[in-house]
Amino acid sequence: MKRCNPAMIALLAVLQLLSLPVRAADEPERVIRDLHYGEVLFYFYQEDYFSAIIHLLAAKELDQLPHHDEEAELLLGGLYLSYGQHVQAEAIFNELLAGNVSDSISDRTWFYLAKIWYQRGYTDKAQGALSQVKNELPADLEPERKLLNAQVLMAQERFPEAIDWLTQWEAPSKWRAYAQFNLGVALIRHGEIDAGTRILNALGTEDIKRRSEEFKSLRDKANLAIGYAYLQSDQSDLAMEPLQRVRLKGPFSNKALLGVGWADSSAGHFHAALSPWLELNTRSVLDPAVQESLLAVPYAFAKLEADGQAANHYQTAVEVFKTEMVRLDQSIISVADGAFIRTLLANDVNDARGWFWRLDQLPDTPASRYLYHLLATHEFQEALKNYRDLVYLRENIDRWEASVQAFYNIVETANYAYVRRLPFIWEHFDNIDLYGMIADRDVLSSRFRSVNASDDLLGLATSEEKQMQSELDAVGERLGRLPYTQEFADFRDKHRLLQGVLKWKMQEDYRARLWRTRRELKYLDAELALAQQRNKRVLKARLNMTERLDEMANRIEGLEPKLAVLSDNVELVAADQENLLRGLAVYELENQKQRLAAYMVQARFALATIYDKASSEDQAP
Amino acid sequence: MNFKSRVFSFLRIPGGSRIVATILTSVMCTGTVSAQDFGSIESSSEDFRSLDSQVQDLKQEVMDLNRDLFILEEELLFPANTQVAVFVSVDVGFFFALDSVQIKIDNKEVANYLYTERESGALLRGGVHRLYLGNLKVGEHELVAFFTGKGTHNRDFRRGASLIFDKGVGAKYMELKIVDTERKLQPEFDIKEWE
Repeated sequence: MKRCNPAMIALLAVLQLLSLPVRAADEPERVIRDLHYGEVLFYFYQEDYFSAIIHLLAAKELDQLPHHDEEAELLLGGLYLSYGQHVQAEAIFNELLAGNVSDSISDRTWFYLAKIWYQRGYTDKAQGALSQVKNELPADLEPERKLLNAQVLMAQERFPEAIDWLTQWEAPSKWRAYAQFNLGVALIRHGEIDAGTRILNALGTEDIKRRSEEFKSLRDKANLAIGYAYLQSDQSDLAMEPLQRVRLKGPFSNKALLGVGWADSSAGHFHAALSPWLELNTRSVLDPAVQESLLAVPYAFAKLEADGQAANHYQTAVEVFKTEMVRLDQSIISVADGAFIRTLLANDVNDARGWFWRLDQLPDTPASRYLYHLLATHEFQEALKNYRDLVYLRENIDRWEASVQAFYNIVETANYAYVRRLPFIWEHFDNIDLYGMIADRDVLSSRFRSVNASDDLLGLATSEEKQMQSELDAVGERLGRLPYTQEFADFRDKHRLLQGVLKWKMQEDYRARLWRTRRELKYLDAELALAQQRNKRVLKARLNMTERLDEMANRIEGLEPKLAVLSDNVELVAADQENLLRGLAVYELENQKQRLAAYMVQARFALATIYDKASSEDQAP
Repeated sequence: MNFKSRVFSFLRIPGGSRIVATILTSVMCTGTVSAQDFGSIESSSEDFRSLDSQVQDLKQEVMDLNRDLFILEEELLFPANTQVAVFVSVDVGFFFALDSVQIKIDNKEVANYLYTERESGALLRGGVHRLYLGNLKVGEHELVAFFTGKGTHNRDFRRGASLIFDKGVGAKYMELKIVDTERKLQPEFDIKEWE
């Protein structure tokens, strides 16, 4: 059978959860000694965490894992985590990782736990898990741990500690950019704008040739941060350079183009500002930066006294905003009545992957296009995972509720069949005289003992020999009545001879017969003992059957109300969870709508101003 | 209206149009390794945590109940004194993909299972599949099993094995182990009885 390592299985569960590759050193290496443990692994390796947990809990309850106690508990921790049960997982790891496994495995498990908690937004727990890491992790993980620690500190707004931590960290080249970016951000958020800007500027001016997409994106982000920091502090002249360093086709280009336009217009270069803003006008109107540019373009035209073009662009903006607001209204209705949330999971095969699951295909609905940013956030994804799990639990409870009715039927049918069959079985049973058999056996045994004690050859003689002996006795009797003359002497000799032959024959076989009889008596003893045992078992089974069926019925009756209560609770919490998701989505859509409404007011006001100006000019003498 | 008052009038528009501040905040708050800002809507984060805690408790209760019902179902349908279970495991050192396993007990087919790629993979990694769970009387019985699968170079395999076994008063477990013969590099059945 395959081999598995105790603690490695738990770590494997966590690695699998994080979609991380398993190293050669993580390969299993101990023999599976309980079939039921292997069965749990069968579900675990298929990422069916719910079934794996149920099988493991049941096997533990039934003492079916005597050889895998420790690893079963660790595996349970890993499975709980995979199924999103981080509180239970933490309790198990706290108890087991402390003393029973090597520091290296314990450190790595705590590190991965910290990472999961950080992703779920539990920064305090992430901090706690990181503090459990005792030694440096392997070289490929240590920088990630250092960075994670800084991120957790920053998420907790402990900026001075984060700044100290990042300043002291001599990050390897691959990680230097992340350390630099986070240090810059921490400094700025702590109010040390100049120092932060200097750090980000150093990152923002690095050469991007032969650098990864991740690095390029980080560099864009640093430049965008500096540019907007300057714009916010009215230093538009300084904002231009970093904003222009942002790549035109990267994920931050829309924001950068908008900022470049503002920097230009701030310097009175409205013509120059039109260039990035007109480019933005051609991009997807769902992006807030593009929406803002729909107002910025006519604003620049107006500044250039091209009122006609300005009016046209304002009118276009009003039309675009109006259309979008109608679509947003429809989307809000669809989200508010729950249709959108249901559509999100409509094509999902609701398996038991728990926390491992991700929504990776958006439904083709009008609301999706406004919500893809929200749908991609950890917050929404985690809430959706919980909702999905609740839907799974609801189906699970429904299935059990149907099964429980079947259980009642099984018990009832078994009871009925038993009661019907019992009289026939009992009648047959009563006809067997076991005690009579035992008495017969005692008689036989006593006779055997007497034969053995007196060496009674005839006692073990065959019926043929007994017949012969009886005939010889009769002949002897008749010979005894005859005169002792020569005439009968030959008969008497023959009779003596025959008696001698018979005795000799019985004598010769006597020991063998004695042994055979003793053996048969022993066999009889064994058979009778077995019959007595079976007799007892039947009597006990008769009693047990009734008790067992009663016990089963009681257990079913005990579990049924629990199912009903849980069914209600799942329904309630699922409704709350759906409300939370709806709330998040509606909040996002309302925000977008409010922003568009405000832009529309701006556009209409500007249009009115232009028309007013035009009509004043027309009326001028 | 000068530029600043005009542009920053945009920024004062209610409903989130403080675009510079928003962009700056989103850039500054966003982690470098994780791509999203978790705390974008603070109040909902609290709601999330409170609900998350309820969901966790509920899931645990449902799992505990599932455990009890699972045990009850087995004890009801397959009492220990008549229970027989047949498990399948794979321990081969070369590429092998299990396709199906068929089981006959006392010349009656009791299981004929087609394995998915996922299940076959789980077996190769050390999982054990409980293929059959049933009831048998005390006494002597015969188990016959066949498996089919693909080995290296897409070669089809079909092998069988049989075992006469004695069913006592306790539950009887048997393991059908698909193992490889060292000499031929071919998979074979090895049946092991567990008590």
